[in-house]
This record gives sequence, structure tokens and C-alpha cells, in this order.
Amino acid sequence: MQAHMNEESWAAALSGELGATSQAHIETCEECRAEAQSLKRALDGARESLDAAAERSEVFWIRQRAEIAARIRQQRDVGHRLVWATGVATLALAASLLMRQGPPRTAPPQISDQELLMQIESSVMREVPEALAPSALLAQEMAQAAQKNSNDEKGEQQ
Amino acid sequence: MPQASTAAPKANSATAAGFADEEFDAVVREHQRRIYRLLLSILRDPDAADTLTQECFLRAYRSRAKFRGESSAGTWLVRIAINLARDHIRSRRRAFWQRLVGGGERALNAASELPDHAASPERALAARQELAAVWAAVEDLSPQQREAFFLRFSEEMPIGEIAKAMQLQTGTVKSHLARAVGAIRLRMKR
Repeated sequence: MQAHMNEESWAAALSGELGATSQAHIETCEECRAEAQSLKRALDGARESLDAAAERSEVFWIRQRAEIAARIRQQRDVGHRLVWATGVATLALAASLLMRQGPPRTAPPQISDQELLMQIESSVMREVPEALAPSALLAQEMAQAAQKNSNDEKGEQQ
Repeated sequence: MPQASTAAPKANSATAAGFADEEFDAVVREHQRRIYRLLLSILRDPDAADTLTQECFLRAYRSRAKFRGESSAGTWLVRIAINLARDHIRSRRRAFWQRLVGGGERALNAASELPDHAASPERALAARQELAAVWAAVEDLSPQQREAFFLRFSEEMPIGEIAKAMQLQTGTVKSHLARAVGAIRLRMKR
């Protein structure tokens, strides 16, 4: 008498993948044969009861498909909106970058070395730096006005 | 009877670039019942099974471009469904199998409403006891053993496909199944 089947052999047997050794054993062992039949019956029953529990009307499946389709459409719409939003945002960003750059810059006029030397010399010769020229002019006018006022006062006294 | 690992022919032909939209609709039609039944068997909650079936196809749609046809569309969907079921169980932190009591009874009741092939009331009673033993044993299995059990004995998927769907080695799947069968045998002997 061969040893009874182990758990792996039982699992294989119930999956319909009974090996030759196990097959030979079941054919000769009354106990294992009865147990195999009992197990097979129980598993078939479990499958049938699950099938019955999962059975739904055609309306259920149609409704489920419609909901899946609706959710897919919704997702697609969100995707399209995102593409549009991204496109618009990119355009807006590009426009703002272009506007920030302002008018195109022009290169300073090229002058000769001699002209440059003359400009430097005239700058050096100035009494007041070019940047302070307006202030110097104002100071000069104020001095002249003060001088004039003083002359006028003297004239009135005389 | 469930159809194990059958994929839409179009789906298999669309391996290079995933599924086109019109092909995807056919995939939903072909697999929605199977995915629902699997989720119902794992979760024991018809509403959750319905919601997660929808979610399963939505996720599949999102990643349809990544589908390369290395496994069948059915296996690919089962893998998504199993992951969703695991997330669902984890996120809700509930002992979902406790619902087997309710769900199992419903399933058992449904079974008792099936045509009675037994020749006698004694035989019918024995069949119901065997069925109860199966459910009780399944209740004691680990989540992975349970998933392997349902995929093999309810969905009738080949071991290789179960391994792909569960992302396990075939040896590990066989081991889970052996333990599941062992638990059922033990229960039936009590």
C-alpha cells in the first residue's frame, strides 16, 4: 500500500492536475478516493454558491458599464481641460516674458579713438562734472540773483 | 461557469500600444462579471465589489497604454482587482472576513436555492455540511491563501496565471493552495 497523498498532491488533484503516482494511489485507496470525491463535491458547491451570490440582472451590468464609461469620459474631459489650461498658461507665460523684455536694445554708436580722447579731455577740463552741471547752473543763477538783489537794495538806499 | 484567463482577442492584438478606446469597451464587457465575482468573493460586500469593479476598469483605462500583453488582459485585470481589494481592506481597517458570516450565509443560502442534485435529504444535508466546512476553512486562511484559493477553485485560473496576477512564484502559489486544501480537509474531517 502506497502512502496517502500529501497536501500538494491533493491541491493538484482538486485542480485536475493529478500526477501519475497520485492517480495510481487514488485508484487503489478506497479512503483517498472517497475523500477526493467529497472534497471535489464541496469545492464544486462552493463555486456554485459563489456564482449564485455574484449573479446579477442584465440591468446591473448595463448600469455598471454606463458608470464606468461616464467616469472614463469625465477623466478624459479633465485631461482635455488640463491640456487647454496648460496651453493657455504657457502662452500667458511666454507673453509676459516678452513684455518684460521691453523694446529691443540698440548698440551704442561706434566712435573713433580720437573722438573718444577729445571727449575725455573735455570732461577732464570741465570745472564741474557733467552729472552735476544742472546743480552748478542753478547755483550760478542763485548767486547772480543774490548779487542783483544786493545791487537793488544799495540803489534804493542811495 | 467562469472563464479562466480568457482575454479579448482584440486586446491581445493591441499589445504594442495598449488598448484603443473602442477595444477597451469590449474588454469591460468581457471581464466585468468575472472581476465583480472575484471582488465579491474576496470582500463579501456587494457594494464594495461593485465600486471596486468600476475602479478596476478605470485604473486599467488609465494605464492601458502600458499594457504590453505579457499576460492576458484577464490576468492583468485580476491583478488590478486584487491590489484594489487589498487596499480596500487595509484602508478600511476592518476584519472583512467577519462579513463572511453574513456573506457566507448568503452564499450558503444561495447554494441551498440551487437545484438539488442529491438523491436524498441526507445527501442534501451532507452537501450543505461540506459546503459549510469549506467556508469555515476559507475563513481561517491568510489573505494570500484565500486569494489563491478563489483564483484557482472559483476562477479556475491556471497556476502560472495566478502567480502573475498575485506577483508570486508558482511554487508559492502551490504552497498557498496546498495549505488551503489542507485546511478544508481538516474541517471536513471534524
